[in-house]
Amino acid sequence: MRDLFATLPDDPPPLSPGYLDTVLTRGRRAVRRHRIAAAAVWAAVVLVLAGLVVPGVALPARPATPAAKPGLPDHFAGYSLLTSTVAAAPPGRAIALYGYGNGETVNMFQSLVVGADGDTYRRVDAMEERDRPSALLAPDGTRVLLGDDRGATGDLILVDLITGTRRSIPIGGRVGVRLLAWSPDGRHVAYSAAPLSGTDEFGTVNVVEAEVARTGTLRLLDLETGRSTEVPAIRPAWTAAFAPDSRRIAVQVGQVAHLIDLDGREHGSVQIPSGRELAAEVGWSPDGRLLATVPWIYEGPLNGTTGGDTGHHGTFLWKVGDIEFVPVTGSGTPPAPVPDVVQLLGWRSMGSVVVATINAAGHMSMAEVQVGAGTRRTLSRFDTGSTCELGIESCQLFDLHLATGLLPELGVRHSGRPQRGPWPTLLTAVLGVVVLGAAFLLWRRQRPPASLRQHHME
Amino acid sequence: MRDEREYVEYVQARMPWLRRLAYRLCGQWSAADDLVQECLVALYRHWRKAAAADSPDAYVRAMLVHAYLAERERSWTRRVRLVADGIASAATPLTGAEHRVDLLAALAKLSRGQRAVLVLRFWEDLDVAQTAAALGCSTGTVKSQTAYAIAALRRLLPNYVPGGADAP
Repeated sequence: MRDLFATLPDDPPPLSPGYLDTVLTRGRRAVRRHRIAAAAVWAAVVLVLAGLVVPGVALPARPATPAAKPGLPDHFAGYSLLTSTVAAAPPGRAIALYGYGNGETVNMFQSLVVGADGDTYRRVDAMEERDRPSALLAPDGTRVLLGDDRGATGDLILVDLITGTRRSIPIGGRVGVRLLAWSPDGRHVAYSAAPLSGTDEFGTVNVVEAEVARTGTLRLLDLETGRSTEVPAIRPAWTAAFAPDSRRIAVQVGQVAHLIDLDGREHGSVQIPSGRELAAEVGWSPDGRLLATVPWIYEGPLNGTTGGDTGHHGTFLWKVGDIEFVPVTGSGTPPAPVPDVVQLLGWRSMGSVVVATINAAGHMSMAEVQVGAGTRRTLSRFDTGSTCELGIESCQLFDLHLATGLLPELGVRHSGRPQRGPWPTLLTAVLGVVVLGAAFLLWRRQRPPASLRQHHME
Repeated sequence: MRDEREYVEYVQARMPWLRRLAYRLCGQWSAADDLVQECLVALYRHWRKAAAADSPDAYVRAMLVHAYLAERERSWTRRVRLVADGIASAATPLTGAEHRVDLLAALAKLSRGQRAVLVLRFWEDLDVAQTAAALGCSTGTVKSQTAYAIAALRRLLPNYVPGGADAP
């Protein structure tokens, strides 16, 4: 074989003029490009790491400064796994508290608050730790009160959205609780409580809610003293709404709304039409003359043998009905019903309500409706697109509450980039490792091939 | 630029060897000069490492061979080949011209890896270990690929009767 190769001539022809100069020019250019590329790669790595670390750092709590006027974003932000928690980064006063997500394949529900003074979104981690129980948003948007859907509890949790701190409010013995309404002055909360029997339902979804709705006795909690007062006569409490003066409360038992004061004395009652119920939390009109009612979602309150299904709590908002008004005093002509309403959310004034509505495509929005005239103006829209469960399911809303005390002066702001707070630590760490790994692979590619490449020779 | 001066001195001294090796791999002088230029540009970037190697020549040889082998991995748009000085140029009347033409044509039909192993073993007179180092593979791979390449050459050159030791 060597003899055969020896027959081949290989005397090189003359090199083209300037060959070496060309090599040097290209070599210098290659060095320059390599240095620039390396600098760019490292700059990118540093920027990405900074982008990962900076949001991941738990900065001192800096809740949004209250603006002159509270506002709703004209579009609520979509679902995100990167939304931080109230404890990690307090959001400041909130305009809305709502459940968001889907659980068709993977349980990916979130309990969220959105800021009244900016596009701040936070998960209410205290709710998630207690299996997303019934909760209420304070009328001024600064606090969230929650029970416990894991079972009987000995306390309620008051979450301060300004500081991110929690306060445990003991309620005596361990009972199941279902929160009903928060007084407009922010001092009192109505809830019903009942010992849990641990029936067959226990262990399914919203078991505490369902059992307490059928058996719970009304209690009035004074948040200043932390003392709960039981009203044994009001049982089982179905829905409730405080009067605008915060001194009285209407509580529906069966098809009767009992009007009681804060000491538990009953001063009257209002018959609620069959098939309807007092609009939860916000059913009493600002002038005190009307109670707003909405259709039952399922069977309505317990009537002795049937009813008591609390399907509207913890399940998606979907059912369209109307708001009808019942005079508290029994005199006067109530305004015309407000049609096409999924939920009454609050009152801006005596002549204007804020409602949740849904269109034929299933898109949820909030609108202001003029009572009587029926004219409506869309205030805000929710993102119900297919962004939940990693993009395979639509996003659904449930347990929607507004800061009702902020509604009279409510404005609508153009929604900006959602401020979701610092990323979860685990996610930040994983992404950091991925970026460093990518940087290492890039660095390896920059090394001279002769020292690395292992060629297959086939 | 002391490094650049040393680089230039080295390249000027080793240019004929590099061009010859590249020609043996490519079979065309124009392609060989292009390959050498690619190699020298890379060598410029890594000159310090090459100069510090135990054998700069072995380092540069490995770079050249790898540059040659890497061409098969490039997109077809970068593999533009000039054929004017290819096999036709080898047809210049010389003693034993028929063997030359046949061998060049046969080498052109081998894979780049097989061609490289034959060139390094029988034209560059490297032993198996040196060939393996230049190719960045095991000695076993060198031996097996040498055997495959010789078998392929025998098929392509049925009229040639080797007179030397062909064993890998």
